[in-house]
Amino acid sequence: MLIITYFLIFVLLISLMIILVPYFKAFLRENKQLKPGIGREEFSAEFFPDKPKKETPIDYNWKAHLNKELDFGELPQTYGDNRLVLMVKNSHNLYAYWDTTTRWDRGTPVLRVYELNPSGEEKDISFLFDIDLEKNADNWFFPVPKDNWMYYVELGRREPDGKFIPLLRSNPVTTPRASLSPAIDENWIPCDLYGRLNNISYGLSSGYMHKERERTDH
Amino acid sequence: MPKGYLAIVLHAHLPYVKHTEHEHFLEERWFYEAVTDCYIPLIDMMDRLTEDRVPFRFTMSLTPPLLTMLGDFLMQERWLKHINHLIDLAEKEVVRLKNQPSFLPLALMYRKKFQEARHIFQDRYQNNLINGFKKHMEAGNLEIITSGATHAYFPLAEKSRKSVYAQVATAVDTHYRYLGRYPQGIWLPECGYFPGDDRILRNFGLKYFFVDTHGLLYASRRPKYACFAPIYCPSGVAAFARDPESSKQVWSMTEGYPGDYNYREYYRDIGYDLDFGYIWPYIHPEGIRVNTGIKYYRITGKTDKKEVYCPDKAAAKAYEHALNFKFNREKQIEYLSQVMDRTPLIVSPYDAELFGHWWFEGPQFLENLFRSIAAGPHIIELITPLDYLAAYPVNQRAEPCMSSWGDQGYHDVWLDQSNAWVYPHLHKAVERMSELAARFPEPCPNTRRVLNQAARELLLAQSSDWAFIMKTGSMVSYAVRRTKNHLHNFNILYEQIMHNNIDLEELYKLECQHDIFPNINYRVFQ
Repeated sequence: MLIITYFLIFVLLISLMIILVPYFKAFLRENKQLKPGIGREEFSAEFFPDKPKKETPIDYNWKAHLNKELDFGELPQTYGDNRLVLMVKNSHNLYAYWDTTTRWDRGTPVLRVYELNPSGEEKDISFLFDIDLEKNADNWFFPVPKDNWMYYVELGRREPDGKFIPLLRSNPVTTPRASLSPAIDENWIPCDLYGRLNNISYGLSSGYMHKERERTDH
Repeated sequence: MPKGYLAIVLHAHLPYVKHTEHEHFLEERWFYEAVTDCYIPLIDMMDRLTEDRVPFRFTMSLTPPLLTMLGDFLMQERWLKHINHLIDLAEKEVVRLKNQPSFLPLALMYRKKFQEARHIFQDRYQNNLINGFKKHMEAGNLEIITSGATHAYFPLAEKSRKSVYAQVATAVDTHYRYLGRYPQGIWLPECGYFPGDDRILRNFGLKYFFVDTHGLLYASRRPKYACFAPIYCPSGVAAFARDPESSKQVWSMTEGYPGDYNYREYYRDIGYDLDFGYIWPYIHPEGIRVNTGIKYYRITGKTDKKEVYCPDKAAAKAYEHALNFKFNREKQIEYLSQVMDRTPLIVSPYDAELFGHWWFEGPQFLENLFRSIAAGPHIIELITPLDYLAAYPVNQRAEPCMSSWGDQGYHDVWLDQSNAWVYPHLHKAVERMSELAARFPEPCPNTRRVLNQAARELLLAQSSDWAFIMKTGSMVSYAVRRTKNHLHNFNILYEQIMHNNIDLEELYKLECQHDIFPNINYRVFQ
């Protein structure tokens, strides 16, 4: 009789453990992955801790088994092309990236920046400045002087004697305006509206909200 | 005759986050939350206004990934599962808080809200919310426009503009398939305008798009009416600019309405606040705490000590703010109509997900606004951009300025140290895709399948959301992996076609996994 009782108690304990295992597992994992436990005293008068947790971006561990499926391959370092692409970031900043089979054994890799007059009859081109690059660089952000103006770049090598040898030329780009156009349509003479629009605030969109959220940090 | 027009534009978009691998992707919750918090309340609002015979009129963009997910059987099933789970949690909360008179009404409110959401979704619209939007579109109250096929950021597309063409072509086609009409207007993703892209829009019968204020003010010729009337691009497509005043009142969390201390605090969710032992069945199965949608506190102030949310006070504020918004627009219109020789137009665009999700009381605000405008005095009339173009078909011609509505007004958000690495790969992939399209004008059925899947992978990689997430810094690894994954798949498919070495099993897997745009035609990249 006693043996049966012991056996039953044993079975009960085992089943209790089996039932509680997922709970404990989750519990242990929580302590590993998350900030320290909070609000443990669930049924106390204080339902929630006074201090809210700082908003932390949820960036979960991709090694976790649920996410194994979203495997991805690395992308090629190079496509074996010879190309130089120029892009606009804003009215006064550009971005260039390149893919080249050239090896920079000797000399310095240089990005040479040119400007073009977009409205000139004959597009007059003039050299602006050189940027000395790191040998392993394959992209560069750099400022330019004018908005509403055209630019292009050349990637090349500066020889030890100072001579520049161009290797690739980019597409031209036009920086966007950063102010009102002086051009007035004679049939559409501007109304007296611009005084009220002096201070344009840029970027009122989801990114703005994001920034504000971070700043206020309720 | 009203003294001025108001065009409210809500841009509804989510990246394509359907995962067939399993149902526990945290990112899929973006969809569930937006459906519960935003799309259902907005449809419900339109239903109520219609029932009460309150006239209203506004514009919404429903992007192709959002339409696809709303119309997807698996996503519908998953949302139902999600809401049933939430209702279950709300029931438990009602029991848990039965002796807490300040919290209990809130638990009851959430239970009712979730039950109603399920009812609207299941019984009123047969699990497909597109039916809800469509109903109001057909009734003439809602103008639905499209956006980029996967919300690619157009200004940073390659020089050939082939991907812009493919994005617009696929978007217009998807729009037609889900809504039975071709869109007349487009929401350029992130208001990103690149001079000349308007020609592509015209090819697809699109009559208008939106730019940020400076996109119009800094046009090639100074616009006569500043941002209070559209201009025609050289192609003849109209560009409407947003009004800065009304934007700030709603967008700004600090200066604008949504930051009012009586409104609900977004960041105090029971998914984070409650004891783990209690909440764990309702958060991520791997023990990651997430927002459940149940939040009991109000913003209170710049303090950590939050007070309990009071729905009645918040509702009164939403009413007050709607009247204030209307009052300010009337004042603005009074002023504008004095200096303009035509009826001024105020364009107020917002992210749809702001309403109900971030700003819990947003849908109430909007409903109050529509009701109060309908009640008069009729100084303002609600219209859509198309209505305006019908009233004023002659407009100034100029080229808008390259711009976006992102931080700093140009491309800074989508092109910086964190995300610039995507563009060489994206540009190369477009070049490869157009090479394939030119090389295989009449492919055999299997090659066609590979070509179409390659086009899908490329479009998915182009989504501006990934670059945005990389820049803003939450869920970065997901965005990086999605970009790499789609580009990697694209490159594999490209190699397979080029070497005539098609792996049908792998292809089938990809077709099931990334199943957006079932009717895509890869030749849009030609």
